[in-house]
Amino acid sequence: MELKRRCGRGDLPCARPEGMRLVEEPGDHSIPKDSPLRRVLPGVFIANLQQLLNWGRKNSLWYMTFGIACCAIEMMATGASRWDLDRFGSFFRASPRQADFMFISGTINEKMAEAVKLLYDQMAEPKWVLAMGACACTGGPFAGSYNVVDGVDKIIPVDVYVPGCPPRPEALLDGLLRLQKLVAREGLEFVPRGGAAAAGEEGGARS
Amino acid sequence: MSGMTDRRLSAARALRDHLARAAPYAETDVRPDGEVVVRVPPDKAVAAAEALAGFRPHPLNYLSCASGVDRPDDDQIEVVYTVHSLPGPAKASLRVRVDRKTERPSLPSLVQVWPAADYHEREIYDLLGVWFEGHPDLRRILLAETFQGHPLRKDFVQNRPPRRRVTREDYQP
Repeated sequence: MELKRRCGRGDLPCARPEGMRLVEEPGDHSIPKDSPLRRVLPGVFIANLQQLLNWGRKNSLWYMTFGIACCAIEMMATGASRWDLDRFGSFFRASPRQADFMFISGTINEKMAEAVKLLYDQMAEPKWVLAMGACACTGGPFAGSYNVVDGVDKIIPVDVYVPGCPPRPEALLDGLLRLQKLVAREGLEFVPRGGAAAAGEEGGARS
Repeated sequence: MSGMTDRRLSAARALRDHLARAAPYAETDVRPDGEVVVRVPPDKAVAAAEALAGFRPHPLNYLSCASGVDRPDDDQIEVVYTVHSLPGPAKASLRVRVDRKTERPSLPSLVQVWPAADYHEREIYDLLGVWFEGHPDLRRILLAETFQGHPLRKDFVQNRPPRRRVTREDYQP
């Protein structure tokens, strides 16, 4: 019973690092019986460094303070206390240098496209992009218009698409969790880069 | 009929009489709601605007809107200045037309009479392609400097090349 309590956090699916194995007692014979590790079992994870790095990254995805149109209002609501992106380790950074990803929250017109590209270029690797709302995904109601870019993925690579006009904060949170799944798999398996997942579609991550 | 419309109509009649003296070239028309429609040729636009602004006791000193209308059936572009009087109920719309078939349709700028016309004229220039002579800073205001053409013209054809989706591999910083 005592052991259960000590490994309580390890039982939570979101706290367990992706791809890491919790060393269980009994039945796990990967650690010798006389190893000092046994004294702290089962609070031990076995992982490689990439998994550990991804685990840290996915739980501290800082996003850029960058609102473009009406979707930005919904993004701010998602960041504020009612939905609270901070509980997933995400919060606003006011500089692209310190940001890990950006929400594209609104219609991209031809004039704004240059600014979006510049900001994306200023972000440090690794970086991700979440297209929020119909306009950022495809141009939305303005698709084909003389001054609107038909989807921000014509300008910069996009990892997760969240459709909606605007998407509910719950949908945006789902998009963030899917982005976390992508980040957790980074460098661990063959992922066809540039593939993308739409939030709300079962199966999620890059396909 | 409400008191406001009565006052506006009497102001409109006074304005029409004022324009008959101060701007006899103008074609005036009083609408049922008390708006005075003033049509003038381009070379008289500044004089007509000054006549409107010089109307007493209700100077038309507040430009609430300037808009452009493309009229391909008449081969003209019409620029409509909607002006109000801050001290009184007078209201007018000054309409000037320009031939749209020329390469560079131009009208005199009214910024010197109503400074608020600055941004409005820039917008009309940007979207409809009317050059305002004497404008202090005639640049595009909404579209990018590199934009080709004037998209609110009825015969505007978009020649933007189609774009492909960018992936991480082929992204060019």
